[in-house]
Amino acid sequence: MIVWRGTLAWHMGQLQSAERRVLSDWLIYCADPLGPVRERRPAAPIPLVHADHLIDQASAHGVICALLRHFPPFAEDTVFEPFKEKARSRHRDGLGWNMVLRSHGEAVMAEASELPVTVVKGPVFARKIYPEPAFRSYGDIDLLAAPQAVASLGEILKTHGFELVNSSPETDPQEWSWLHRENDKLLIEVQTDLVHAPSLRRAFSLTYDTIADDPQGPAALLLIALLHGALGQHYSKLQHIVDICQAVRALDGDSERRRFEILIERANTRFICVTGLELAGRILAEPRCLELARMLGSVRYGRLASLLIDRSVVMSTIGEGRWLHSWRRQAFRSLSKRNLRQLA
Amino acid sequence: MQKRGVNIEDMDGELILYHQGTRKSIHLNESAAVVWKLCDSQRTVQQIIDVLAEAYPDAKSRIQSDVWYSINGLMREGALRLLPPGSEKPKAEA
Repeated sequence: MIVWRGTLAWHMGQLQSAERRVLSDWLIYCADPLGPVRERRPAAPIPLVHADHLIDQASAHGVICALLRHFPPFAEDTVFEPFKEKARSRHRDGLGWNMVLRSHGEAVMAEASELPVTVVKGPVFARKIYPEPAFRSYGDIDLLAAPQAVASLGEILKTHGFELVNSSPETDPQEWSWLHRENDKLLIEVQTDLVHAPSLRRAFSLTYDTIADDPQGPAALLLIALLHGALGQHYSKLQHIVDICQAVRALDGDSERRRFEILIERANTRFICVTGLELAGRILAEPRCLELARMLGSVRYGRLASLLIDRSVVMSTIGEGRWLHSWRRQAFRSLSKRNLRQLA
Repeated sequence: MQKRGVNIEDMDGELILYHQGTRKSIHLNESAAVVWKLCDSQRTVQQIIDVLAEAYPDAKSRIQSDVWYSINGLMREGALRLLPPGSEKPKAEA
């Protein structure tokens, strides 16, 4: 993985901004698991010399499977065959790793079934909101646990070969990192709040109790996708945007939309949800995201948030663009903190 | 017969198997994936060879060795086991 990142930085350093834009256009065009919208097909083709960059970016953004399925030259142009095979190899490695993680996660959860613990993010998104699990890669297993379950869960993890390597913050841990003794890439993270930063937790939080009545239902999944994208990763991957769109598509009917609103109020996350829905709706042209954002109503600083976090910030994850846009992510984080919990 | 404890992911005609016991991932290309899918406890190895030879007559001369190569490899990795002759399950009634 470390070698991978070095290669990515070197590749991206060679592209001009117009070339990066073409790559971004194609990644966004291909990223939707339900298939691209023909009318949005980019006019400019990807030059063969940039095909490696495209694959590297797709991997970094977590959309390599979608690229394989939807990038027209992979189906139409034999000249791209070596790059298609490279993309398949990356996708195959990711799938294999997903299977390793899933196997360990399922074994742990089978023993923890009576505890107030639920798997969140990657494996659940893959299974519940994507048309095929292969579309959603993930690098670790995240567990959201009620505080009283953490000690028992720790004992279960030990019996399955995991060792505690880190807990944070030191004074009042809310997050524990467990690595497998025989594979130091195999990570299970236990959290009691999906909002990790103590300073942000003054504004909002998402604990097991917030979603306990249906932790893997559509409303909970959408809330988690929005929080994960905004706070966990500051929208650093196109995958986060796809998660939000897929979760919105899975939110079916008025009762689920009402439940989503209830969860928003419990977690005090209206700002995060409205701005995230608007962002995903604009980037992937998914009207249901925009409709849901309108239904939730406007939020203070919403307009400023849309100027800070836009397509260019999401797609600048790799290369020098990331540093140019880091101030925008920090400013968005500051805006989020201003959304202080209302006193009763 | 396909062994239990094997998770399967389909990758556009190829398969990735994950054996929970050995904690190994096994990648099957398209032809090996076809062999795997035919190992359904209802066919003998010869029947699998016959099915493939009929489907791919141009490759008939290679199919027997390819099938045995795939099956032996999968057995070595613990993803398959051969049942004694006569153990094939009858096909379910429609």
